[in-house]
Amino acid sequence: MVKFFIFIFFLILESLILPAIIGPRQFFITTVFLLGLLVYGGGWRTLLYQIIPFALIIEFFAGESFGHLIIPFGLTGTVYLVLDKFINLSQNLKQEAKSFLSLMPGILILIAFNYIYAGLFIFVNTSYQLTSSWQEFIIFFKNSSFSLVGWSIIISILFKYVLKTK
Amino acid sequence: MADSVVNYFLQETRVAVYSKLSFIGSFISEVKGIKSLTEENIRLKEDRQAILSNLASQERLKEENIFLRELLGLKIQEMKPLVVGIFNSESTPRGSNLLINKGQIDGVKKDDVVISSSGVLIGVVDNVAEDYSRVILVTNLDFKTTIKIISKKTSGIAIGSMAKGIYLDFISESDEVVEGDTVVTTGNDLFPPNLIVGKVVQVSSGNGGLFKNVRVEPAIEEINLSQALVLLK
Repeated sequence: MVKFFIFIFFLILESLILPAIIGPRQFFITTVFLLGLLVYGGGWRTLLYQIIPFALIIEFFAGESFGHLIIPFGLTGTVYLVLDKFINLSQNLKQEAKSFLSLMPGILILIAFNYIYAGLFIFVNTSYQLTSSWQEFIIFFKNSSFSLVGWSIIISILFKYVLKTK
Repeated sequence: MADSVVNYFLQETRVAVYSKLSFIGSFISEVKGIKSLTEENIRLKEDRQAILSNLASQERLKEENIFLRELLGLKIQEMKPLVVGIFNSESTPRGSNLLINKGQIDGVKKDDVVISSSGVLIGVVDNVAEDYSRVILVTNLDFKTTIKIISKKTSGIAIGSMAKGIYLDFISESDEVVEGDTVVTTGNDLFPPNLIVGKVVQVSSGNGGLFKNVRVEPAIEEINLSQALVLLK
């Protein structure tokens, strides 16, 4: 329930408050938060009962068509779960965060999954055209790193210290 | 006799004293004249500066006048402007979208142009629902329009580039572009002419040597986006 209220707060912050104050910019707060749920609480249940419903709320809130966000989030979740089977990502992140340095693996994995999500989102929304998707992904990679890395750090701190995900 | 001698002596003495004093007086008045001349010179220099400044501001006003005349030439008379409110902003990996509170029932159609009341190009309607529409911003990766540099013969294509604003394509190395130039639409595509796109903030030579890399700061970053105008076709 706490996660739901935090999600709603981030959604309102990203969609209404920040654009009204500083203008429409790339924030990626809710995206990073949903991927944080995946990375720090990974599993089919998190994907099915938290991430997909939350993505559905964003779609409704942003007036997007069904599947616009659910498909890339679902695909990213699947990539995470498959990787977790082989390299046990979730187990490695369950260590208690004693210092900022111990947060680094989680932050890096979260950033990596943000790029995976962005790539899949672009691929799905450019009608599965590989060449134009790649070109758009390169532009995204060059231009959005600052915001994405910043929010990945904040969300990682939130999950490790405030929500105490172990 | 003695009286007249004394009188004469006194008179001559007074004349001599007076002439000496008048010399001092004229010297003082000359000094005063030099002082006033210096002051006048300073004042004239100040006046000259003021005139130069006025000339510069007149030049600026002249340019502004030309720009405003160009703006008056906006061919939006054929289009019916519809005032809309913005109620949501969405960040996606392909750029930002806005939701406006007018849709199909208000006559909004896909590809309708969205501008601010001051003639700043905000974006284009991408998706229309019954009572709301989605607008893609000029910074969105999907966004492209033909542009020109105001008061110059340079033209090219503006492409949205998310956080970096807008990049201009097809600006050759010989084209005249400097930082601070204003970029407006040409009217050669679905956008009306002379809508303000932004201001050039970075110009560098491209790697291939054919085209320049020109980055534009979008004008939407400087305006209040609570309301906008949709130009209905």
